[in-house]
Amino acid sequence: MSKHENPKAKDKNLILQKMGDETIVYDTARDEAICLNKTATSVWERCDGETSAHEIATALDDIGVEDVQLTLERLSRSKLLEAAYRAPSETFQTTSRRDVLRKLATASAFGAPLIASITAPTAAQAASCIPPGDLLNFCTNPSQCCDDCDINLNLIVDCVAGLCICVDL
Amino acid sequence: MPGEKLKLMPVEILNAPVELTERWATPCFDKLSKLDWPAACCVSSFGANIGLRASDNDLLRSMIDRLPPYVRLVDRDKCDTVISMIRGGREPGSRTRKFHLVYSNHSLIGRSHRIEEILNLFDFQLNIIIAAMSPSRVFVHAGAVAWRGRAIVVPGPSMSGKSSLIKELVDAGAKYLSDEYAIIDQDGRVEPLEKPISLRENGSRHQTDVPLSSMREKVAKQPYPVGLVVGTRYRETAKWKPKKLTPGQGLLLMLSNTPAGRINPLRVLSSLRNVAGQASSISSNRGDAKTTATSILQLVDEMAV
Repeated sequence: MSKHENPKAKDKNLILQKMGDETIVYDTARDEAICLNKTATSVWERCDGETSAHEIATALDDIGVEDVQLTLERLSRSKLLEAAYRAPSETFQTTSRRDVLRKLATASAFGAPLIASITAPTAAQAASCIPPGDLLNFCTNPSQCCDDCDINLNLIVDCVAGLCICVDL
Repeated sequence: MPGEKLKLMPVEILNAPVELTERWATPCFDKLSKLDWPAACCVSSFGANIGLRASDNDLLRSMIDRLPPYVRLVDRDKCDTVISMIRGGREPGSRTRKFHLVYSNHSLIGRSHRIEEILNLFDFQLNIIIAAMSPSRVFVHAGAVAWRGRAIVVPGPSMSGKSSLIKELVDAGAKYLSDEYAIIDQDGRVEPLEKPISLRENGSRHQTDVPLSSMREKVAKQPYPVGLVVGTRYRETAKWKPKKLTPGQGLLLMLSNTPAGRINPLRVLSSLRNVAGQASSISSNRGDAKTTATSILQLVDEMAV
């Protein structure tokens, strides 16, 4: 598939939450949460597989085609498009991506396309580290394990066969 | 419900077999269940039902004695999760000393020759399970205080300096809600958790509790709507320079510290959206906890004007 075909937003395994101008996208397949700002949301919502980057730019009055292409590249990196997208090579020959971003941030009502993402933690990770015995989270070394074993009792946490457990010294 | 007192029941009558709801049962759990479990019961906290079983009555009694005030015994035999403990030690006539063992469902959590250590692991696992399984609340790994009628929530991993900041906020006049989990109810309010502040000394992992009785008047008794979410981490040389986050970024900050995020993302996201939508969110590294606490309270005062 060509890298410049009309972009299509991914729609499987996603949970969407709108927060004002922002959109929170939760990918249940990758357990990743992504926050799209107004610019990224506006572009992503128009990625129907039939509308080109030029047409998206036309639909969004205050934003140029190179801005849309830059946003599409970022959406693609965040795996929010069905196919990988890369702007045509000639797009950023005269103007760098950084210049496009700067212009968007200062001169456009939309602002620079911001995409923030996190990987949702497992229950144990949210409690900061892998507790001894957690079978869902494998360790590769003892430093990943919660040090909840009492050293005063000569117990240490260890990573044994990929599992964090408390063992006697 | 927080504040609900533990209703102790005689262990002798709690000997019904504890089973996992089908959703969580595995063949390995079935094998573990074939062992002899003479003592078992079910406890509930914030809607999460957890089975406890032990290889003898005294051991189950020790587990029950350690239940925090927000966990109560219930009369049921189907549970979302089962924690099992097997007493080890030396059997008469044997030269072998067996480990005491603790399991969460079919997973071995730890083994030790010291029963106290195994009971500590039981405490730790019980709290993770409640935080991850509660169907009615969203638990964010965070400290929380109330100030001017709103909750200040400080999400973050262990060792990020949450508890020392919470203690300074309380010393500066805020009401204590929790130093481990901000428990968010269906209306987006933070409920108080009856748990003492656990402080570490010199960056150690070992914690010392500040009992709630020592700060009686400073403990919140009711839920508060969230006014401010603070993402911060202690750095010795850092200066407090808070940067405003968008509501979406505030949501991500809380989600990255939410144990149930993967288990029930839809419910967690809608709950956190309510919170992030009604609150301001800021983030900054911090140095001294006392100075930071004063700045945070001033900021909330300014926001209230």
